[in-house]
Amino acid sequence: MKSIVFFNNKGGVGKTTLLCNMAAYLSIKKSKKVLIIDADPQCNSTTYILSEEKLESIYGKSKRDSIESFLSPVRKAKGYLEKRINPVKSERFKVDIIPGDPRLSLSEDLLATDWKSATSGDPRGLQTTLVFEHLKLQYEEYDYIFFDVGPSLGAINRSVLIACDYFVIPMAVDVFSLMALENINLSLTKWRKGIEDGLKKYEEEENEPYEIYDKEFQWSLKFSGYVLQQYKAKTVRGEKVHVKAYEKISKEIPAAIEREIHSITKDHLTLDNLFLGEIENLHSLVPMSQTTNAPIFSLKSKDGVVGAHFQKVQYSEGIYSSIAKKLLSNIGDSDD
Amino acid sequence: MIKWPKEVVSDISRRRCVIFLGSGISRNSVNTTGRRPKTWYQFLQSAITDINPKAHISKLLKDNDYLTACEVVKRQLGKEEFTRIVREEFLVPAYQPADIHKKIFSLDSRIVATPNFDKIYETYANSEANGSIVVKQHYDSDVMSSIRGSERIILKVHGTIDSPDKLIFTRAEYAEARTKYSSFYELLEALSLTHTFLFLGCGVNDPDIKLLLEDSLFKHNSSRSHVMLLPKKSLHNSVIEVIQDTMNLNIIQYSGANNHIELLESVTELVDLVEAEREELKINMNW
Repeated sequence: MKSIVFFNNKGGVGKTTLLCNMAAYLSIKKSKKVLIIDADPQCNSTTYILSEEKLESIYGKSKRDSIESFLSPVRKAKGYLEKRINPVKSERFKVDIIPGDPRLSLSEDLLATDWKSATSGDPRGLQTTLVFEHLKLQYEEYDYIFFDVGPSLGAINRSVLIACDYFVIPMAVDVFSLMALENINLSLTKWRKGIEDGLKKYEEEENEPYEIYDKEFQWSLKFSGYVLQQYKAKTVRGEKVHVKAYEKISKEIPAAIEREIHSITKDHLTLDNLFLGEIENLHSLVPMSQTTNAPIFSLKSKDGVVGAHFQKVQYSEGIYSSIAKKLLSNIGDSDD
Repeated sequence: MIKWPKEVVSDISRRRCVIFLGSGISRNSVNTTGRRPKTWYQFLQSAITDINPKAHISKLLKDNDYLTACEVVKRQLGKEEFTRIVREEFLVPAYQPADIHKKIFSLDSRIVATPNFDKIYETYANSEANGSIVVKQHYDSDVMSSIRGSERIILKVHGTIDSPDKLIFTRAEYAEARTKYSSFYELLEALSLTHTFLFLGCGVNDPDIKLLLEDSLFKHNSSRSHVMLLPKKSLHNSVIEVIQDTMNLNIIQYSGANNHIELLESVTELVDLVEAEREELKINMNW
């Protein structure tokens, strides 16, 4: 099992769309077993891939199985959840999901307070911080676990990133995405040092490494690539706009990735390999895919696809296929 | 590169345009052995090789009277033989769609009309759209419902090679069709009044097109013109003037060099312009 988080502290970059469609692509076309964990309190991936009836049946109850099930015992100082919950199946995406929960935000404080003691090697602090590592280990039978997170550099996301093997950065070609890369760099450097310090101090004090289920925990997060959200030249009252800025910024992106991300993750991948692909404006297909809870590349006429949009559906499959191919190769897996 | 008139971009975006594909578009296709479909003129030229004497037909062809030439050829060869060579030309070779067909489909026009008998465009369009595009012949009795409906349609105004008996090809067939299928021609006329026609790969000699456009100009005094793309030098400038004035047609010329590459590039750009315009429409909802 490999865990991958799709992460960018700049919002609105098509993160959830990319994550859910990649998950569906790997499951439907590559026969991989994929679990999505919705660790974003906004629950976008949950609402994307599950039908309204299903959402109603999950959230209609006061006691529900969601990501919150793992957090609330930790918050109440009862340790990790003893019995894992059953993931929910998405009919059309053919993936399983641990549904998100708005109450997840309640844990932001706890994770933030306990971070300090985690970095000084306190077992209680480490336990809280590593809650997603524990969660992940409950679902070893999956080939891939995809974490969806909100656009922040807060404590929840810190804990998710610490628990993951890989991260992918979905980004838009705009000046804020460039600025976000710098923030990611600063945070990752700080977090890594923090958790490694904590683990070292723990080992010094307890004379043994920190373990979850007899497995020594270590920071293992590696960068496995970035995806660009492409804007077409827009015409506003007959004038093409944004084009100049788009070209200028898209030229700056590889250098920024190299400087801010690649340099700190120090993996063997080349900058060329890390560019997973560019997603063109898919017009009406994204809203259509959201309302029908279906992957973009498998939209049918019964979902409302008409005319030349069938070309776009096929085109989108080509995009996801090439991104999947590069991503799998970057994490050392084969494409067949 | 062609500079597309704003009205054309706007009309296609709002799906108020009929894209009309002539035999020049089919010419871009090849089959697996590299063969291309002939134009009307080339087809008749090859059909008369076995007819002797043929000087009278050659003269008709030289005078651009293809309809009469075709009628004579059909009578001399006999109906069966004529049908055989038509099928042999337009059906058997299994032509594949060319890049220009793909770009035209990307324009996502609701109505595409064509006098071509071959099935190159409709086969491509329907394979892309999972068979959701309705193909209507001039003799179908429910063309109106399709036009009023919301589906994408392809109008085969001269029939299809699948039913060679019903093709409109020769002089007699043209003459007969105008009475026999008059309701179909009324529909075309109605479309020409409410929609902008964009003619691609057509000549100005098609009698149907001529009639249609002359009518709509003089009957309804329309000032909004239809658009035809023609390779440079295919007509003399003074002739172009006459045509523009009598057929209500805006003729845009492009270079025919390099297998009409300028046409393909211009249509490709048109696809981008239309997509951008539709994005804009999505925001202002002013369709």
